[in-house]
Amino acid sequence: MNPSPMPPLDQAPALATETLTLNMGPQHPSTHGAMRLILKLDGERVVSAQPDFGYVHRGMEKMAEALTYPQYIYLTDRLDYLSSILNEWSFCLACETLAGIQVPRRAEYLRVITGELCRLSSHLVWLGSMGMDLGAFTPLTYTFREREMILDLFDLLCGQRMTFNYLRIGGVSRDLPAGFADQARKFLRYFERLPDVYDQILSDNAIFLQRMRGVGVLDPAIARSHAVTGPSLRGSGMALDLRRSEPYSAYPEFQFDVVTRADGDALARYQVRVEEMKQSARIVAQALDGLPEGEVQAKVPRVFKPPVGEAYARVESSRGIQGFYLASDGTVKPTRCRIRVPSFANLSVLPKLLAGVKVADVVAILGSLDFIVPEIDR
Amino acid sequence: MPDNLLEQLQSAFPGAQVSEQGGFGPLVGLAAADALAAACETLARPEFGWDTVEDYTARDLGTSFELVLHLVSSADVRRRLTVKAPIARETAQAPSLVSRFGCAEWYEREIFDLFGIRFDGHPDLRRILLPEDWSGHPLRKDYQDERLLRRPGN
Repeated sequence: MNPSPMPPLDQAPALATETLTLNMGPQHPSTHGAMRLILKLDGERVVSAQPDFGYVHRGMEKMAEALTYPQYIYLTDRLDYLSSILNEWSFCLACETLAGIQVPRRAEYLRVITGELCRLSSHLVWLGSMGMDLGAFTPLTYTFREREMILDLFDLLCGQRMTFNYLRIGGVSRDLPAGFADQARKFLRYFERLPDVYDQILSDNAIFLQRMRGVGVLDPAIARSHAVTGPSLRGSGMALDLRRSEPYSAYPEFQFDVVTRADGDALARYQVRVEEMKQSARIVAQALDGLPEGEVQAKVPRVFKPPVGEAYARVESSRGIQGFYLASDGTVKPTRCRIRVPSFANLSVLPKLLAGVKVADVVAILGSLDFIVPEIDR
Repeated sequence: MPDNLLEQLQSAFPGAQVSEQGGFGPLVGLAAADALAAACETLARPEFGWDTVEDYTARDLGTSFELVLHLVSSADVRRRLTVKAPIARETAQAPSLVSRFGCAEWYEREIFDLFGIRFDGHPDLRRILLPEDWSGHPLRKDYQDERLLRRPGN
């Protein structure tokens, strides 16, 4: 039997195509935790993307109803585990607002020092994994080397590397140990030139630039409508940083710049975070030099019973505005504890950012938003 | 904050309870949740400027629910305002704010998931944190789960 001759190409019947549904995750290296992304693909192009999360939902808002206020501090470490101090900070701030407690000045400085070191180490983890998402392994080995030095500092301070449980209602749990300030200064001197080194291995890399520039452009109006905060918002040109615009704690006493970039793409968000590392190091250096003498813990009743009322306190965390809304009924346990997390709102913009992009850009956009899953799931 | 701001708010919301909550900006307690969307529109006007959501959640007050909406001004983030609206326990229904705020879609799904409050006009109201087949809404005070550890006296 002779095969029938092929019809000329311009007369070939059109190929029937359909969209493909692809589950990205829940176990996927670039989702940085257990999160599933339901992608609908038309060839190489994303038609729609729907995040699905809740895999590490622990019911932390419900758990608060069964725990006393001081018992809850250690749980806040488990929200954004890369910036634990900043979660503890907003919780303690809410408790202090409820009960009207004044924190001693030395404790405020210690909170700033540890909080900024936390932000620094969180940005370091992000930078390493961002590079790795795009196929560059070297930055990870650099940034984790530096992060280890920060974790050593925390180990010296409170005996923990990640979940510190360092802050207390009305202060901090202990003063700086001997040698901490020297070791921290040594680290800052060593770290001084490093953001530029990272820049050399990533920002001067043509492949990295091509994969980041013009990718995932976040319009400032959409960002505000979706309550996006933090470096992701500042990468879209809006200078919203609570440390400057609603200064809490000792922040009015320090010199630092609020970093913004106007482009709104993945590269802009990358640049904001790299620049913020320098600013955090600047703040820690100033706080170490100006550390006042005095108590590190205010007088707080042994049984902490705030009066009936409500408080909403928030801080600028590594990923945006992190806040606690506490309602007290006058007993030792909160009747309602609401956690406002930056990653939840920041991620809600993802379906809009991903519609229409190429599959290869999905990972770059995910990485540049820098969300953290345990914080979203709570 | 200008001195007459509370009076301005009170005249814009005649039926609402307007007060100052030390340090957090004004609190507008609406009489009913039906007025929520219109209130957000009024508050976003240039003379007020609270045009952005920071957080949206609910409380279980026992006999009723209460929606708690934290608004900020995108021009000046220091300007905060809290809007509260009561929800009857039997109906547990509220109007959706999705057409006004992009983030409301997920926040309302979360409130539905954990409190069981239904939002009219929400395009895709389903659970967001808990599994689809979960029964009950855990942040309600009368939520019972036999797997929860009961401490003596609790």
